[in-house]
Amino acid sequence: MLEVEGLAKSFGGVRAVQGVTFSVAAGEIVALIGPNGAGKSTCFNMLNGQLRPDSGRIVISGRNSTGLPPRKVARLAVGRTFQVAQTYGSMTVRENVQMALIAHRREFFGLWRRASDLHVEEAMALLDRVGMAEQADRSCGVLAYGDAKRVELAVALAGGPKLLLMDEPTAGMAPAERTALMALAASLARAQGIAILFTEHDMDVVFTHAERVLVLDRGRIIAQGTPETVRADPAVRAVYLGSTAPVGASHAGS
Amino acid sequence: MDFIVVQFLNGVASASSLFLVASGLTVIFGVTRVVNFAHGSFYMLGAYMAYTLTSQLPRGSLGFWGGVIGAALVIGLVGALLEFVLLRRLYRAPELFQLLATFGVVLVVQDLTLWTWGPEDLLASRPLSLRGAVDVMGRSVPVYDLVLIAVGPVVLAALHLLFHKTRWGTLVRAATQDREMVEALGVEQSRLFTAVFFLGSLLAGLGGALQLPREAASLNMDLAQITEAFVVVVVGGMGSILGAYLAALLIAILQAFGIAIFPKITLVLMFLVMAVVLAVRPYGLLGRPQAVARVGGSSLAVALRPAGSWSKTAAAVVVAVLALSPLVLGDYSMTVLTEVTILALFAASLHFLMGPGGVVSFGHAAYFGVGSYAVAMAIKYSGLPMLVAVVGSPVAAGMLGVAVGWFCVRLSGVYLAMLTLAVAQIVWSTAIQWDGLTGGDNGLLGIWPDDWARGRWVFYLVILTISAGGILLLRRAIFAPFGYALRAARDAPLRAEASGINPGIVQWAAFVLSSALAGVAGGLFALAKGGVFPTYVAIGRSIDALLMVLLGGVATVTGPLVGTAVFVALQDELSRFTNVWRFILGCVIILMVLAFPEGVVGFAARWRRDPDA
Amino acid sequence: MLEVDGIDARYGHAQVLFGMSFRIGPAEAVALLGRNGAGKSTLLKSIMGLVPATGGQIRFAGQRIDGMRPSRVCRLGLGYVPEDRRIFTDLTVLENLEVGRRPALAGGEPWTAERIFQLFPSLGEMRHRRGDRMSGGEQQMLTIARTLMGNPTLLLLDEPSEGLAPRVVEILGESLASLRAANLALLIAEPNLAFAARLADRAILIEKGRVAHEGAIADLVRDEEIQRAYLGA
Repeated sequence: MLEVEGLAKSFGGVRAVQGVTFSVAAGEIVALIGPNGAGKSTCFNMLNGQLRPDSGRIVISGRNSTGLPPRKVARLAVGRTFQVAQTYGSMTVRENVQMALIAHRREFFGLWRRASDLHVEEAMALLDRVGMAEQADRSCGVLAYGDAKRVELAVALAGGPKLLLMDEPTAGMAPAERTALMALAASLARAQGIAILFTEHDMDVVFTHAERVLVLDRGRIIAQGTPETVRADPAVRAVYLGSTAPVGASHAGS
Repeated sequence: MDFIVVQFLNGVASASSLFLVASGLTVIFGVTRVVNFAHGSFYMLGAYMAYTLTSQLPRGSLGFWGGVIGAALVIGLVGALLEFVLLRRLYRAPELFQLLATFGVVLVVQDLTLWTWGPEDLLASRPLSLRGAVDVMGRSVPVYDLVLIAVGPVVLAALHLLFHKTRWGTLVRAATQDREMVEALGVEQSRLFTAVFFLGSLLAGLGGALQLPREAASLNMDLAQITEAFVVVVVGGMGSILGAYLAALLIAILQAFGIAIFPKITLVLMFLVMAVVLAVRPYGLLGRPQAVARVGGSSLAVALRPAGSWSKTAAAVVVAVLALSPLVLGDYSMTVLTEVTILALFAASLHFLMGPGGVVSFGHAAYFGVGSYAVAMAIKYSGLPMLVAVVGSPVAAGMLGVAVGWFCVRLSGVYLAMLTLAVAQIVWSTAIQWDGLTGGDNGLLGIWPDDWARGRWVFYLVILTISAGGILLLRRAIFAPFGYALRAARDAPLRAEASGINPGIVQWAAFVLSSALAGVAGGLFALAKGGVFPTYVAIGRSIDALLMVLLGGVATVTGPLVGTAVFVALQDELSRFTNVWRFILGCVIILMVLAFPEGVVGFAARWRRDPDA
Repeated sequence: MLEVDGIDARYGHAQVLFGMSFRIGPAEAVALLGRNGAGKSTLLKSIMGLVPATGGQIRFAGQRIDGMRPSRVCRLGLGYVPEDRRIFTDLTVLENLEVGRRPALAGGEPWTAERIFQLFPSLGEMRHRRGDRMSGGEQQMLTIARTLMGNPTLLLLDEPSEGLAPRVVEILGESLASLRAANLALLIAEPNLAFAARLADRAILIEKGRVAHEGAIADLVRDEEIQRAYLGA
């Protein structure tokens, strides 16, 4: 599904990412973790096309996507969610999904037909899946944050992705909502065989939902494997998890 | 060789004054985020004030320098006063409104200067010690030019020390990044801002005062200078003082050679420099991507709703009433109504770009003007039938839109505002300077409709059909996939990209559509007035368009149409009954911005939603 | 020392705080707990004057501070450490500290850059480094250090541990504990109970803009029912 080989990127002499190699199989849920400044965002932004790698190769569904801009990466059946939910505040919830469907079908230069009449049923079906159908006619700009994240998930699914890239999907949410959102994403992905690669700070979310965990430190992958192996890895504990790992265990581990 | 050296020195000397003005602009913008249109007015006032002071003070070096420095200080105080009285009430208003308010100040200052100093150009004499010339490679170079050449680097060094070696400078740099945080750390923001305005205005005043011995003080130096200063700031990189110096050098030297070799190319040259620099470095020579200013500005992201059946009926009734109006209205009223009908299309075209597109064009008159000149030339030089000529207007304006839009979608915020404004200025000066083709200041006259359309009813129906058709097209587009894609690119460009939309292409297409329709409006306007004049492209007309849109409210679809009617009525009454219309219009703009930062229709809509507000 | 008495605050159109009241005594450390969106950040901002309180009263050091400009509130001895760090990335470490420097109020040894570097040795090693070349943890330390330069008597901290790696959170906790030991009063807004519990003795739980519970933090750590109800754990 996704194969990354020898990815590297420097900023003004600082090597943010060096020689990162990994792969994600179809339908697999993989977490990318690491301390701040380890290169997670840089790595992620190269995968989604926002940054051009200095060297290395990214292959998505058998097609070389290295250096393609985000919109071309999207055309390779890659869906994305952002650290801070990106939705269209001047549109309703339903129109947000309709826009994604219109974009997916490349109909966005139409000048006459009403956009809000297009793909209504399909949009509602997607909203139903993320539990936002009742709020379909609300303006996206006034939604609670957790709801905006759900809309974003529906929007990401509108392009019929085979791979979902989720950048800190639960950042800025209350702990209970966090697990619920990731559980929703995971169940939808499993039902349709979509692979997910996500970065995350909340170790509860990581260890509950990831099938495999990659740990990045100073631009390199220092460990990877099942949540259990990574959690027990002394190198990971030293640079990232610390002695009291995992954070939040005191109130969520019960 | 000697020619090259002399022109080079001449350019470097001109660069100093330009640099002073531009550095003041950049410092003020950096901290307060206000793009101060009135900065050019401070430059002009600096020159006039220096004239008054140097002619009062005893002749000689001391009197001259005393006058120059005194003028700079006075202008600094004027700037601080402006900040204190007006601008500090606007820091939370959208960027656009700040620009409009400062444009109101420009108008007010123009009339005040006229009252105080009269309409004649005023030239100061240099003191004896600065009057001589130095022999450079067989040609004489004025001593005063050499003095100016030295002033640039000296001021540059002084500013560098001020910003990097003093506590005040450190605070200013911190506030440039996050003024709210600076306030929370115990630094009183308002005092800092007033001080920054003092410094910035002082620099503009100094620039004007130093220029006085080379160039007479005149009433149109404000807008000419602000355009050049904008270009310098954009080329150098917003907020970079060193960048401003380099850009001032580059532009002034090119200008010096340009004037000497091929005078007509100068303004285009400036634009070409800017185009090349921005194409390679979208944030200017030494600029960096702008941190999003942390202010609670109001967002334009309000949900738009298509017209219900009631509104559609109402619109049909309005069009029908307009179509029948030639039956009852007199000639003068018909003239005004024709103007309103055409300008409504112009305003709607700008609104399409500004509202759903989120791209603010400060020089929309460029496309209006190009459209009007295209029609005029087609009729005048080729004798084409009226309707064929009118088709030429969107083509010509659209082509300019293709070129300018290509840059615009790569820029944002202030860079965008300045680029669009600069383009309009260039079109304007082309219209004035290329008199063989455009008729220069006199314009082209005798552009009348074809015989079949001369009747006032037929002509108005033609105007109404084309204008209403254009407005309808824009309205449909807003609610069609294209308008949605445009709003998508405005609301969340990252999301639009991730959905497979290229936000740049969508905005570019919108820019072209908008400029083409502005061109249509311009073409109709030429026919309605029977001629074209450079004023169709002047800054004033761009501002008119902005006022029409803002009066009505950017976030509404109907707003601009209402705004047009209000605006034309207002302007018409003013210019008929008073000769100080600039002063009054300026005051009206300022008060309007202070009172209705959301526009008239936006204000009414909000009032309906939320009666307590 | 700080008395918050029935304050309301709005953010845009929405009311966020509803008649909130509590007190903080001298040299006391209090944790402000609650879910995201409960109003913690807005509360700190309205104490500081960054978001106007639309009703109620706030008193600090015997003066009414609601309606005062943030700069004046700061000069009375309230130090504000914002969320998302907000250091001046164009300025060096020393220049960042200079922006925060204010003369000390009566008594006490004023903070100097050298004293700051004793508390955060890693900052001392990069005193001429620009803010944008620092890691997230270093930036967070600088945010706190910059506010300390104003010699506050009460420090308002908005989610200091958010977005930091667990290791860095530990180091930060130690530095804050040493400030606390030096009798600086603290009001810490935190979603992370474990972190807050190490620093504070008392906790104020807020829910939907109201004070929902107040008490010793030690009791809260034991009370899973309240945690479930208000922290979403």
